[in-house]
Amino acid sequence: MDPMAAIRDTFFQECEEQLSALEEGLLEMEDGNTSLDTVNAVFRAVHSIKGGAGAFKLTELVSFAHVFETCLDKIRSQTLQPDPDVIKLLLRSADILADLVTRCRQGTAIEKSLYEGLQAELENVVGGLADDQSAEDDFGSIDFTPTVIAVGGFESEPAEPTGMSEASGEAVGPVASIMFRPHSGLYAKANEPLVIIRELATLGKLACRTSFDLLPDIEAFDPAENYLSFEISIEGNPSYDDITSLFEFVEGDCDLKIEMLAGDDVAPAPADSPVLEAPVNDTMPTADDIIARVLGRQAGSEPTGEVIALPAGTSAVDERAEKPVEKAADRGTEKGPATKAIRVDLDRIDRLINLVGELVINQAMLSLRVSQSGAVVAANVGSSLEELERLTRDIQESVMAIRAQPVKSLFQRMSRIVREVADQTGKAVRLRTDGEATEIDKTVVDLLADPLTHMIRNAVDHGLEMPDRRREVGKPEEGTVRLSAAHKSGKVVITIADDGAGINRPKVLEIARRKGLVTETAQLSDNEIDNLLFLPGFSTATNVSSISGRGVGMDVVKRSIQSLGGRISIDSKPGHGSVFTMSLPLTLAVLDGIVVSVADQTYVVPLTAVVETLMPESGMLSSLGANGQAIRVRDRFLPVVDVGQVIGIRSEPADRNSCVAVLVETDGHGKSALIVDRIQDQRQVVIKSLETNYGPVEGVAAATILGDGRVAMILDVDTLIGRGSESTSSAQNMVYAKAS
Amino acid sequence: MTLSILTVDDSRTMRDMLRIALTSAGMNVQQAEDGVHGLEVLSGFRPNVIVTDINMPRMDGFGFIEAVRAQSAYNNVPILVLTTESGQALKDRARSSGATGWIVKPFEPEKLVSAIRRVAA
Repeated sequence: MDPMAAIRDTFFQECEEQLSALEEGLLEMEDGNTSLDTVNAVFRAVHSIKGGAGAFKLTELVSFAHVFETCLDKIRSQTLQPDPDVIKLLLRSADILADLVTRCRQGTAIEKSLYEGLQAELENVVGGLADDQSAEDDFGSIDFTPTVIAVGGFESEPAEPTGMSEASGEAVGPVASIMFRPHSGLYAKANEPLVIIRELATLGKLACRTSFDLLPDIEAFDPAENYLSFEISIEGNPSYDDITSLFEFVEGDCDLKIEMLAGDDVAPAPADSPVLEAPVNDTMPTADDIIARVLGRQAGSEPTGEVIALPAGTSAVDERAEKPVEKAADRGTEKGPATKAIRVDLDRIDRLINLVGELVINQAMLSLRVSQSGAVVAANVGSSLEELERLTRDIQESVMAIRAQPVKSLFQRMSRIVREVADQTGKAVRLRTDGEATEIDKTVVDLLADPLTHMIRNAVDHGLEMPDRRREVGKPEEGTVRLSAAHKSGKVVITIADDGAGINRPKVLEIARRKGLVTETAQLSDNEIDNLLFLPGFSTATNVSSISGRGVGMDVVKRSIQSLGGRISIDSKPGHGSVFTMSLPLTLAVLDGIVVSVADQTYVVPLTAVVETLMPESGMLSSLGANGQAIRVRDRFLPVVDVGQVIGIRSEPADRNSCVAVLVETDGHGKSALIVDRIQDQRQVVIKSLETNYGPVEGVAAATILGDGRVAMILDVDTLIGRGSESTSSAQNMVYAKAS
Repeated sequence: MTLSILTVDDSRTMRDMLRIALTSAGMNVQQAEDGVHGLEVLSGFRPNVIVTDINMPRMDGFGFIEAVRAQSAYNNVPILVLTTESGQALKDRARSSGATGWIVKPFEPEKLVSAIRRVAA
């Protein structure tokens, strides 16, 4: 890839990181943590974005980031108080900055209206920014007029400009005459007069005379001080600006006087001044020269460059620049300091995961073949196989861990959603997040963004009351939405809780009846009413608001969660708010399941749904209505779903004397019992998408390949039970029948 | 002579740009992510010139320069400050902490290289 394109990619990746650091920091500040560390981190984030943006000439981004940064700088220097209004402004600015970054990344046009208003607000807060900006430009371009300049109060009259071209009789162009006396501070900053003189020599034909006039007596000699000064002349029409730019870094650390003389004014060098003309290599400072000189005067000095004269154009620098660079470039890359993280293309990881999946299947096949070979398996073969199985599983887990990502980035996006919806609805909302470090498969994180956004919008738009109303019922005006994530028994549980009014059940029921989603007479439990929200086409907002509306209902949310192999449930208390709980698998690549047999076919029941398994004894199963059956487990009756019948691979029910009941629990249907013929095993299986390879099949979530090479279906328990209990009369089930 | 350069910058973008600009000019580059890291790298690497950012976590550019200057082995290594911030105050601050010079971001690779050559002994 073109190196600039690669850097550009890096820049935008880094922008994402900086934006999330920015938001994190601002939210901390909102919570009252305005420590210097936090403010600095926030400042750095914007600063880095601006820096990179400048390199890519992203003008709008630079200009907005600049004002933003200036504002943060004022907070950093404590000239601006980060009160809640200011922080709100900063948060909005962070949102716009993120938008600008996105536009720049996509290369789409940026309308001024996107950021101008906010930029003006920021400028307002900062005040008098225009001045800052002009000062910002470039402190290198000091605006000198080419006349005599004395820096640092160099009082003594300089020696006559040193000429060297008289003898040769060449025509002399304008000549620069420079008086340069370094102070000790110049050396302390690792500046080097010799280097400056070397660079001056690239501007024209240079002659330099070292003046020892200031050398004190040995008693007064300070070895750290510099007593030498240099009288330099450059022939060949050197540019004044070029000369001053070479002294830019040492300004203030030297006495400097630069004169531009017309060639005719050049006087010959005084006869007694030591003028050397020699290639630079021969005039590297030799201590001996100086010491000899100094001893002659009964004094000492520190070693430094003495006299240089170079023909114009020769330069050590140029030679260096022409060296072949390939090797050095490579070396430079290799020698970079060890970093703790590397970035890897996602495709590579996915390929690796696929391969490991195949490895798992292959390992299972191998075990099976060995046990089927009939021969007595030597003990060491058996233990090697076990070892292989363990290693395979370890590899698989390690590979999965590579894909795991903290939900933090996802949660951070939500805080913006909350702000936007709060602004649009006029509600005061605070988002609290918890368990941001919880890791989950990247695909799950990505696919969760839309449903989560929708639910957060709902929570603010429908869940929370208006501030007035909240005050009336004795709640703080500012509503709270809590978003938390945690690992629970091999799953990730994400909850969204608001402290609003809770679900308005009479209203929900009324709407459902009006839309014909439930019959007029159906008696529904509170939980069943809450679950009506998940029905397709249900929307409680009488006018579909522009915020939550957007044509997506909670049914879509539910389907997205289910397609991720997850479950979602609602818990609502009138007056106290609602809690949506999603439990999600850690990964979409493998699944722990119970392998069962039904009519000589093999199926996998996801372990996440399984509560327990049991062999029904006589009397536990009883008929219910025409087709329905129930099983009594510890004095509770649970609906029974005969898998063979529901899937349609046989019309007869399973043999009641030898069957096994797998008790499962799902969001939609609570506890039920799946009747299967036999349980084979409990193991981890590699998920192969049926939709990608075949097509969607109701009641089947996915497929897997077993050790014997056969394909087994992974059951979609929730749908299966929904179908199985169609015949039993329950308002909710009627609803679901309609839904499917 | 191949110049060895240490760059200290917390931005990956900047590190990449520095690395490419300097290596294509034939320089040997080592990179650190902040001041603390920079000092660690220095313990096993003697650069001809150091280029450092100012705003960094853990230890900023000023702190880094002061720490480098405090070590007698490194007090004569030229240090260039790489910064988007400009103005006399920063210049003075950089000087007083011991910086040799500065480069204003965004930089042209040639400008960067010439600034480095300008201070390299």
